[in-house]
Amino acid sequence: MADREPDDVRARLTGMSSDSERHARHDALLVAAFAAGDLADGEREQAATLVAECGACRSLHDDLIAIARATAALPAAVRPRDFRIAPEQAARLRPGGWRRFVAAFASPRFAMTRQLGVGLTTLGLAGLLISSIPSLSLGGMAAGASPAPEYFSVDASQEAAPFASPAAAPAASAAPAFGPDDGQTLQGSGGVLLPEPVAPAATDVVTSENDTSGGGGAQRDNAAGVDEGGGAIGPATDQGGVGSLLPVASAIALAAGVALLLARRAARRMTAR
Amino acid sequence: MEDLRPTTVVDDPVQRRDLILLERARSGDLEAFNDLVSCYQDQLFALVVRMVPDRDQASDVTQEAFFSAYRNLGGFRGGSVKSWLNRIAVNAAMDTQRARKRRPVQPYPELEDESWQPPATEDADPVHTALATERTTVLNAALASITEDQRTAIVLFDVEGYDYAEIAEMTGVSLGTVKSRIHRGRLALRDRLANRMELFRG
Repeated sequence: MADREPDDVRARLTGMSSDSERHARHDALLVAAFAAGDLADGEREQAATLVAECGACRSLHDDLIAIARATAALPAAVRPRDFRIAPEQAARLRPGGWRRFVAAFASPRFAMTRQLGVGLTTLGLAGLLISSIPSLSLGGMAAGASPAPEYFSVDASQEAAPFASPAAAPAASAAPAFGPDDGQTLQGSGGVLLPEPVAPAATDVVTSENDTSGGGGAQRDNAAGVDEGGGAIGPATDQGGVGSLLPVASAIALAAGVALLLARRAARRMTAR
Repeated sequence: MEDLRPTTVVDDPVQRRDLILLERARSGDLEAFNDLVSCYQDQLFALVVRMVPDRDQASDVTQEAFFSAYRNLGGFRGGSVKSWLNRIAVNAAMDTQRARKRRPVQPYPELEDESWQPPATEDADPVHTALATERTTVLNAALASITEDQRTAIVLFDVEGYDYAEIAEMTGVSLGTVKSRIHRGRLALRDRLANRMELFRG
């Protein structure tokens, strides 16, 4: 007797274990669909067999039906307030004239305007930032073309002749119109009108030094101005197409993005409760 | 303005009333729209509060649904006004659920508060009432803990009585997906209620 009890217990436990193992392999979703009455003939028979033969599946089936019944019988919650619309709310919700046009931006149909506005604004800002970097780097290139001390010495000489400096840039484009002395000086400087930006700058520094030793600060300053201008304008002219397009496109994107965001904000304020 | 009368069935007096009110509302009669609100606000709130179990939020969603309906009166394309309103409310509730998912807060703190349940009638058996209240509480808690998609499908099917096709149209998913959500949702409910199933049996 004492020996048999553990065997019985073991047998029962083994049986339970094998039952639960078997049930774990059963398709619970099939039972759920069967409980809902959603199965076609073939699957329905399969599910019915499952429910008939497996106690756990039968229990699951009955529980699902009970839960569905209880859910359907859930009491309706009591409404906490009146949802009727006041006349002033109605006026905001269905505005007339141009207000209706602006208010359309607050509707879910135009929900993407916010993302679009943020995107365009970001693109515009990024474009403007990027377009400002090349000019900085080009400025750096022009400065880097001639040794720093010489560059500064040119600046120093420009400071020494302040009245010549403002004429430097126009003089660059008007170089051929200079008087004979200027022309000689320019010719002497060599390569003022050369397309390469770097070589003339270097040459010019030398010329400037020569000029400095020989006096004629104004002419020398003009020449330096021409070279600096040529050095700076040359690369900028090469990239002029992209360089001028990017800031304009960025500004347009920025303006459009900000306009969209403002329109949506105005619309939301208009339709706010 | 689109004339709704020739394209809709007017045999049902409720439907005929709704269509007349809606048409008057479309022509600018706020009182007509508010009559519609009076007819459906209880039902709409009951639907929304099952989907968004936070009572305050459900109230806001219901109000927003009526605002949206009023704003989009021109968008009504005939058929059942009740279904149209329900569709708007379901969409508003689903939007709120998505927003809630993005900004998680304490999940449905009011589920423990039973004050919003309908009061028991005087002749009700206290034990029966207590059991019913307990059943409602645990079932609501279980409903709140399953996925939003499953909850929406179960509420629309079991509580509101819509068929699969109507739910599919309302929620913008296929018929098979609706069935799957309901079946999986019930299985999930059963998992959550495993220790309290005695409340539902018998």
